[in-house]
Amino acid sequence: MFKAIDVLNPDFITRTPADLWTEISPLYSVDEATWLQQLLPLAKPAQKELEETTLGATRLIEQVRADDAAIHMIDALLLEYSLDTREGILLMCLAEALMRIPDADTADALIRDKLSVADWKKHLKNSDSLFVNASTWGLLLTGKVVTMDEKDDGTPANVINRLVNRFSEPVIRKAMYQAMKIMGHQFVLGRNIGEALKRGRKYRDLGYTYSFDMLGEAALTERDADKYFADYLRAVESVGGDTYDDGKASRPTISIKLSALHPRYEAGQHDRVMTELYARVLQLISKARTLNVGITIDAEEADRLELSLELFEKLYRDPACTGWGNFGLVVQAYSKRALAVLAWLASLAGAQGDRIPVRLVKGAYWDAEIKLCQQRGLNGYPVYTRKEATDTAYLACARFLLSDPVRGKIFPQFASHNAHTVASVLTMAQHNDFEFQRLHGMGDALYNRVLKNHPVSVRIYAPVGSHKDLLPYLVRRLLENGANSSFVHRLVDARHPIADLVHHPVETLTSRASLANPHIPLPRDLYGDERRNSFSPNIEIDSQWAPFKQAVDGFMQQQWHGGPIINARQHLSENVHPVLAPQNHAVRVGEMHWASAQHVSEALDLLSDGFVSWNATPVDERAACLERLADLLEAHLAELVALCHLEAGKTIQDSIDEVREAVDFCRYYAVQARNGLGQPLLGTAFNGKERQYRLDGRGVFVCISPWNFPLAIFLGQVSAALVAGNSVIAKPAEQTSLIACRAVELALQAGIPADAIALLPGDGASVGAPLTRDPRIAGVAFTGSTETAQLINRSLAQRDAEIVPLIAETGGQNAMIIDSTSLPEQVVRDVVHSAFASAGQRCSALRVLYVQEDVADRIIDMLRGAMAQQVLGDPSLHSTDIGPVIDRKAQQGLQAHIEKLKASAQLIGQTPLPENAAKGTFVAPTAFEISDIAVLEREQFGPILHVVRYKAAELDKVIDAINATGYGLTLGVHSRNEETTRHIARRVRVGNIYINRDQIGAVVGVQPFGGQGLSGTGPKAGGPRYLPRFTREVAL
Amino acid sequence: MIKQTQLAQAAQSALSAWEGWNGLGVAGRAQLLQHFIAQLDHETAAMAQWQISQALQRLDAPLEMQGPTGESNLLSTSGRGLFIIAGDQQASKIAMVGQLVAALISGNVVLLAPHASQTGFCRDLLRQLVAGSCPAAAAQLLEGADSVLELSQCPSLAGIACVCDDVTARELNRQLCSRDGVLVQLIAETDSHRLPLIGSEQYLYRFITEQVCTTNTTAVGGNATLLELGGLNE
Repeated sequence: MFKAIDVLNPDFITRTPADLWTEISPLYSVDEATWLQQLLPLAKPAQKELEETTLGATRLIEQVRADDAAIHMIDALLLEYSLDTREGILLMCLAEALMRIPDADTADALIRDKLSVADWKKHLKNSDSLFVNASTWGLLLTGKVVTMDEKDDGTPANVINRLVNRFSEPVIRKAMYQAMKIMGHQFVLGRNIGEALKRGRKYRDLGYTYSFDMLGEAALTERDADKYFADYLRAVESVGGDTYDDGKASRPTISIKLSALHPRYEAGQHDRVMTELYARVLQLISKARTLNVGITIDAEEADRLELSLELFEKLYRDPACTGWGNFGLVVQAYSKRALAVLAWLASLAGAQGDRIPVRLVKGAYWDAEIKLCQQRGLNGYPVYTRKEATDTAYLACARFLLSDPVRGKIFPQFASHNAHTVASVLTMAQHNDFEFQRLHGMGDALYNRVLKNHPVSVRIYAPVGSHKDLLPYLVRRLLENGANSSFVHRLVDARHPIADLVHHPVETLTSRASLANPHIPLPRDLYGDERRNSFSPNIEIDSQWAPFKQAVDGFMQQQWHGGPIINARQHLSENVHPVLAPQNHAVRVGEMHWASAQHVSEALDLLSDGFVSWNATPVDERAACLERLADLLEAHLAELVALCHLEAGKTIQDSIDEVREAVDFCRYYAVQARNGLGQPLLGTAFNGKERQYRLDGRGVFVCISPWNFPLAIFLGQVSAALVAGNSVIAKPAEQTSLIACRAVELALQAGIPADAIALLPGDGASVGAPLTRDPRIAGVAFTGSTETAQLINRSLAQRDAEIVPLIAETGGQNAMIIDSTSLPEQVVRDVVHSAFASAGQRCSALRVLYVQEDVADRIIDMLRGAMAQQVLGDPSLHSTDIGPVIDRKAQQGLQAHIEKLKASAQLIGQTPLPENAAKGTFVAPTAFEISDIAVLEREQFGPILHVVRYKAAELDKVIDAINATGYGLTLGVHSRNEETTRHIARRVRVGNIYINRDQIGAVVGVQPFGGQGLSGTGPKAGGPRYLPRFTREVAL
Repeated sequence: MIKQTQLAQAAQSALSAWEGWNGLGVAGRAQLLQHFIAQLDHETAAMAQWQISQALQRLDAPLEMQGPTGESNLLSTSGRGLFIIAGDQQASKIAMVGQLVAALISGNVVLLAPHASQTGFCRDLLRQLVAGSCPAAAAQLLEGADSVLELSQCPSLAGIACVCDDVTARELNRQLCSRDGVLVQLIAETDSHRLPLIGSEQYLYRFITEQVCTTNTTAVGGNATLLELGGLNE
């Protein structure tokens, strides 16, 4: 890590770009406090500068407040409908969805859903803005009626509620559409560049210039990317042909979003990005250069930063760009890597001699970045966790950008709506080689003042495009970037003392007890003091990916040898099975010795005896064993990931997640056990008397696990049974016994006694059957097919012994329901992930997608396009999305189903097979349109998706049909209508419902997992009621 | 001897009431059961009240699971579906009431199949349930079964809770296991004197299924909670 203050040393940016590049990635999730300590001296103003800044900011705010026209357009809307109010959020929710809904009934239902639950009336006439009042429902529905109704009932929410019910729905809908159009008109400068140029003239006359952006969702398909490319090209041509010239402001530029120009703009598809996307952007640059239209690359999520920089460098160095100086990019100051990126850019510009325009923003994906890191268990955040830390970082970056050595290399473009930030930049700057930028519709009054008082340029960043396409995107950005609204609020609200608005962020930050925000725990501390979250490296970030890959590669040639483990000793047998990689049968991973009848018998004898002492072991000690096991699993992450690749055909992220889940199981059950097992509990009996009891182990538990989660479910069952006080005989799936063998070795290493655990690899007939018919067995935990669960149940029942628990997690016929309020891009991304990730070999995977017929054509078309972009192949490669299915038998069954449906159903699309598919057991992800879920006889455990269209009015029939399958594992729902989601959740009988996200990847202790009906007995694995089922109640 | 058609009709009728009964939630059902409890004698009322208290304490409020920002995860419970509640001649009134209330309060619908000696008592129980606004279809009397074993082939069955001896329990278990489809739960109390199973804090868990509802609260964009945290002063 370099010293941040050194960037001001003129020599710093004379280091080569390649040299400075190495400084970027390691800062990805650097310790926040450590790095902020580095930035503070850079951001901290000298006393004189501080005084000037404070004075400048104070004056600006005073002038803005004195301006009668200070707030209008979006500022005014945000002022009235502040995003910290329910109405503000609901208004945005309506704006996000309403215009894309093609059918009247669903639109009406959404309006009802949003209007009936908030207090709209209080916003009436509060605002002086025509726009706000026009957006206020009461006014749209005529104020007279509201007043009349108020006499009957003073409750405003009821007033609107009744209004919605009283007016004919078409009238209300029309009013809502009108409101949305007004809102769209304010958010979006023009529906096309021509209109935008025309509307922008007013501001250009005032001295502003523009950067136009054809904003919208990221492209998921080639066709969408083509469309966005054509839009950008047209925009370049239109701006190039613009003749406005007042000789003052610089020419408008175009901002481009790379994720719109390529359906797979992500680190895993590095080669395609560096060739296909490169060629596409180069074409835009070439055209733009000939027309003298500057191009700026927008910043996106933190995972894409390094890829975007690499692409930028390649484009910048291309002859099409050399000598131009109008190809720039956006840097987000909330990123811990921002300063290093700027230094690298300065070096790059210095080396090539072409100026790089850099828009410095604070950052637009803050909450999404935090959420993602917590979900993924990363080692820290790529962004700061306090607003004032971001503001401090912004000023540190600004000081560097305005420093003498950088002048002429980078052209800084400071984007902010914060008066203090603007005043800081103005005070810091010793020259005028920079400009400010603001968003269309925001910060008008502030920048009108800036333009009036200072000889600087101001550029307006203006979205261009159809309102229907842009509103959802803009609303999301606005909501995610809600901090903007809070400043707008305070800027114009006279009740807020100006002195409060002109605090320097360095002062605010250093006045805190800690530099990092203690209210936002690091991902590892997500679950508080009770247990540590499992860890994952971020494979999209070079500084984490490279060492991780190297560690995994170290095991990719290894051969593993496994066999029955009894009394802590691995046994050999004559029944030896080679283990071959599912993706390439020529790769031999090792061999497995299957258990003999003698091994089964020995294990039963040993563990029956071993139970007594293990059950008597204090629960705290048993729990500690699991915690040590969790730590050992993390320490052996690389080897376990390699085994997941080679034995189970799992992709990189799937393999990491597999280990993480196993780790979480161990830590979660350790906590659960300490909270109630193996110790005296007090209760009141039904007769009112006090009673004392204890939950003890039951005896020898058999754990029979599947191949699809060979470590996670294996250890989930085993760790639960063990910590409850049982001794455990584990029978792993035949296909994935090597990793189970390693897990048991680690469990023994963690301190589980030799007579408390045994591993008996083998098939159901020779291992499972003798175990489940033995009278000494005190319980069975099983995950697999419903049919096998029934066989086990019968086998247990035939014993002349106590009836024991069978905890079975079985199959599913999982559906997802999407209505016309949902956002197609979100839906398709989640559908593809839910149906095809892990080659569809998850119990939770999506099998039947119900699409409301009004949007079915669009969704199906996008699904087809997105499926075409998926990459099948070697699961150990970063570029692979989907690996093989587990074995030949599975492959044949799935292919037979595909062939059958090809004759009887409508094929939607199929992902191409990899070149060397024949070497392994690959099945092409395939989607069919079918008439009804009832035509599917059984679950197809692979990458096959069935799509059914439904009418909005027949939603209940859809729910009935799903319930009628008898399965009840997972269900996905995509809808913006909360009443719809509540209704579905209330009626459908499944174990796990996922709303507005994918439906796989349940997290231990967060989303306890397990189904109903044919899908399992419960209780849910990874939930608070799971462990007691492994126990016996002993009265004390 | 009970007729299978009679069994099937009763099952169908009970299941028609399940969604509504289950949808009331624990608190809603507890309220409806209060009238019923008020009509019981002291000992059986204590058992019924104990089961309801257990349910209110352990099942009523969905558990908010701790997780990442930007999503909500609620763990709730519901009934499994149709339960047969049965008992042999050793089954006490307290045991029968305990089983019945446990099944009902958890969200299940019930076919009550008592030993002949308890038919009158059970008929009264059901009458009081209906008088307390519990839907009649949600708990019905099955008369005429000579043994609980006759009930094992009842269609659409989620579980049987019964008081019986070990031998009967094992035989019943074998019969239930021979069925295709859902693994039918057998909750057999074999100590009719002390009722350690019916009187266990874990008992109700056998009558429920769990559901987790995960909502991405940032689908439309934004994350008010996090923003609040970001700006929070210590």
